[in-house]
Amino acid sequence: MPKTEMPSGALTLLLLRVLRSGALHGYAIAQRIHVLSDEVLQVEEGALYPALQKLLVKGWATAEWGISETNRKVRFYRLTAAGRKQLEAEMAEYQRAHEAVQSVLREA
Amino acid sequence: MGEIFRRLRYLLDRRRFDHELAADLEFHREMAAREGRRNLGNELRLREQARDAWGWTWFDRLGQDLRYAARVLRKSPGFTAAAVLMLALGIGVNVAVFRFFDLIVLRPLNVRDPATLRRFHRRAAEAYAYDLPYSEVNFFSEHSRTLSAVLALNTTKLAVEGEQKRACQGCCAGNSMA
Repeated sequence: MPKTEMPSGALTLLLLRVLRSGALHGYAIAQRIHVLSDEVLQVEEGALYPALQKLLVKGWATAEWGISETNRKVRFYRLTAAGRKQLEAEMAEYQRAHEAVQSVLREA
Repeated sequence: MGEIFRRLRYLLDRRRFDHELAADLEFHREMAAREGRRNLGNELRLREQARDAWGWTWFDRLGQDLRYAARVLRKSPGFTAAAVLMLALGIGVNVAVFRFFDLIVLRPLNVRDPATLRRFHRRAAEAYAYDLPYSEVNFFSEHSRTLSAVLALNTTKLAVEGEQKRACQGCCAGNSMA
């Protein structure tokens, strides 16, 4: 099945949303998005890690060392309070844009 | 505000952050390999892309450019010397000209209240002259009420022992020297 590119801007939103359920390492985040989107969305490494770095710089997430399920030392990303706030803001924004597009599609 | 500090930390402690990023990517590569995906992109390139998020790429580029410039200049000392000389001359001449202009035009005269200075001249219907007879200067300095001081300058040249000399070097008259 062909990989579907992530719509631009949506990745940060998805990362924030996925991290809300708990801390995850980078690979698990990509897996989670892939699985939850019924294997439609594929997060490329070239997009995932820059986006994660952005979360860290913006203060929306922190990274801490932990042990992976394969028993290896790896960094887990955890949402901060500022991250939660950002998630809410971006969800609302996304909802607005989505509804606008839908109404054009329905009524045009 | 917090973001600026975080960004600064990324600049100052970049070795550590870069190391952490490399560890992330290595782990990702390992996990991908377990599932039979081996076509992860060039790792250095991936790291570079991720580092872009720190916002210091321009700083790195600037450093690279400066180092490159220094190397090129060192390689051609003749050109460097010529360029430096040109710059020095250009800047030097400009500074000198401005100094002069500043001295003559911009700077106020070195007196207490330069705006109240007045210069006398004599005027007829078709001619005028800045020269006043000494007796007139004297008259003004003795009788004027509005002037706080009167100053006269004499630049007449005299022949002294066959040599032309100024009668007196910028000598002044009147009640100005108080």
